[in-house]
Amino acid sequence: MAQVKSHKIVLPGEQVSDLFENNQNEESNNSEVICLGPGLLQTGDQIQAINSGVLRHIPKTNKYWVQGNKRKYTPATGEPVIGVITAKHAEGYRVDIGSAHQATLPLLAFEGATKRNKPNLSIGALIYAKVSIANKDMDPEIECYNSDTGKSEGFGELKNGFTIRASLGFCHRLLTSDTPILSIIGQYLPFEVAIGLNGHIWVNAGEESHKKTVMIGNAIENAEHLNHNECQAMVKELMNRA
Amino acid sequence: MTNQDTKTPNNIQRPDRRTATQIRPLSCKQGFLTQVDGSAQFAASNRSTVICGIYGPTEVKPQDEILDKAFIDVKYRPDVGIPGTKDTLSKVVLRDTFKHIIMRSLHPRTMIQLNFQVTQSDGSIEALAINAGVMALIDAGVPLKYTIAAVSCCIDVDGNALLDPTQDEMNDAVSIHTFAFSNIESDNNTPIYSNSTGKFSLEEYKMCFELCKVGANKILAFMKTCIETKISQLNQS
Amino acid sequence: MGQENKISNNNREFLLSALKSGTRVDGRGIYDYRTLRIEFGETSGTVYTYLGNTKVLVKISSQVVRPYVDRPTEGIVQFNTEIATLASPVFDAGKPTQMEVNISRTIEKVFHRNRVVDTESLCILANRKVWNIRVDVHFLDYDGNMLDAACIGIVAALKTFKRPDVTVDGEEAIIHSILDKPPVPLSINYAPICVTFGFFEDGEYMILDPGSLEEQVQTASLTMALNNQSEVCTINKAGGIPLSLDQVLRCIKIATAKIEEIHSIINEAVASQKK
Repeated sequence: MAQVKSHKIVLPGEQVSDLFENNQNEESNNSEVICLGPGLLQTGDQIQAINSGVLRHIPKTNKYWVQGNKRKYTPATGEPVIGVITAKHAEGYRVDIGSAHQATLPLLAFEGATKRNKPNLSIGALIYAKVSIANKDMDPEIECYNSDTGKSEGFGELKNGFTIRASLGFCHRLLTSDTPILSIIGQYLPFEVAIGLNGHIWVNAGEESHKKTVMIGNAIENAEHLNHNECQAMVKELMNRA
Repeated sequence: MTNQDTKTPNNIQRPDRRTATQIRPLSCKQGFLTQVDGSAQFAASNRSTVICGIYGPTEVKPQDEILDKAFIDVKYRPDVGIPGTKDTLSKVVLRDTFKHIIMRSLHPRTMIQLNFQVTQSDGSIEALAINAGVMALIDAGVPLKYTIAAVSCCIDVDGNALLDPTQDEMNDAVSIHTFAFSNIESDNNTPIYSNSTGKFSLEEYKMCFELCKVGANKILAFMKTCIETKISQLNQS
Repeated sequence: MGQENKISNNNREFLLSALKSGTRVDGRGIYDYRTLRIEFGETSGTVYTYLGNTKVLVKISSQVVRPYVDRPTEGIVQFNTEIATLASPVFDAGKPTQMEVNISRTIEKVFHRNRVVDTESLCILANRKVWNIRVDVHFLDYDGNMLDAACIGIVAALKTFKRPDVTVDGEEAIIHSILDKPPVPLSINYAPICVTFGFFEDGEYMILDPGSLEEQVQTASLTMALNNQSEVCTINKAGGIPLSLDQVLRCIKIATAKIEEIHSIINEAVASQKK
């Protein structure tokens, strides 16, 4: 597989076209069309990196992108985010999702919401939503339901609990489930969690168990740079201390 | 690596035992500040250090908003005293340099703010600030056209060119030159940034140019190693 | 920029109700300080203080200047405590926030009015030449309680800073380079350390060393400066809800115990630096 080759680390300004050719030789299928993802830019007949990170490649679709890790969120369509309501207007809420511009949440973008019957959120309320419009020239728009099915699919207001911050890359890893920390904690304690790709993680271990919520938050924060075994040891130690 | 020019012999002994073409040992750490979106500290032999913290792309004041690109704001603070005219000059110079490196059109109607704080000054601060800025921008994930590295060079009273001068060497220098080069190979002879002060001849300028080019490439290689180490550490988990 | 109200109701309510059950959002105890670490830079009088994620750099420099006309035999000690945007986007240069004003005023009170540095020993030639000791405090990262971190940094820096030696020959003063003659330390009367408390709701809940989230939720704060003999030098309560006398006396008791811990950390760091 071309995956080995595509573990190369690139810096902004580096030409990556040469790496592509190597990959294409190994593959037979449709090497003409290359799909460029985040962190890559075509200038003339050259392709260069504009972000630093690991150059990733999916041979099947011939897709290339640079996987970096940052803290500032740039909205992308379909991504789940956690935000705080900052204002209410006639047509919708303004929500701080950590991006450069605040997002708009239409009043009716909730499951089963009608003009007469819609949720009334106060300023400062925490919501879990999905980005529906993301465009660099427009303010992002988010929604708390799936507009095709009309179901909430877990989105909506988050009640109680505590939010912590983490890097965007780590939140991504937590959502793609190749990170064991959540299931390890789950072996010891029941808890609810919501992960926003904007670097916010909401944790709730129940109304009366503040200590547990804080502990789970700490465990998740600590887990960013740990592997499976280290996570297990770390969680075990935290649980024993409690 | 060795410069053919007779005026930069490698046998010059500098007070800190470096040769004329040697840069001080570099150190760099990224992402150590929690409130900013990206940060870096760039140091030369732990005696000259600059910290840079990035906010952005973030909300922009209405009067600064640019419809089709990001507004670049730079803050620069010296290690001793309150910012003065000299620091305002550094600020303007840094802003104009980074304006050309950041892909501003990818984040229209936003602001990218670079906060520089000199923490220890023993010469070559100008170059270190550029290097710290680049590393911080990379840490923040701001899209860049290319990576650049800057280095200073000074000509002493005997006409010797000394790379990466200390404060004492800069004080005694006849002229000081700072260059920044990008990591794009075809641009190897076109510096991104050049600033010279003092009295110097064209030959001296060319000599410094060549010397700084070699120095900048070393720093670029150092930056690459830094980022590779950081990423490979992260990927171990 | 100014991002004041960005914490969610959930975090605010969680913080308060957790506090009622004796838990803090970062897991430490009610009267625990975060890990304190002191590092020294290459030049004398350069100190990095880390209090959890809060980072403060203190830099001391000296210069020979003309004394003030009304105090011809006293040196000058100056503090620069401007908070740059680097620490947090809430701090915008040119528009000092209430917190910034409070921090500068408290540092001024604690170190200047208490005459921590013996200014008369900074006189070289009366009416003509005195030392100007400049203390630059750079706030690098804001995660609450920058005041305590700054005070610890200033004390550690004052204890390790050395100015060039001077010999007075009649009407002439010769300032020796560090290479010619060993530099001399400052003469310090005593070392005051600040301890900051945060209060919640009607003052019933009290914590030590508030973090940034706690600082945003708290209803009042009280800073107390004590010297190495555990004598109170300054008490500063800038607004907020009223506190009972008992509460204040309790704070003094807690502060006295904490000061010892902090002093031993500073002394250990200073001793390792002098080696």
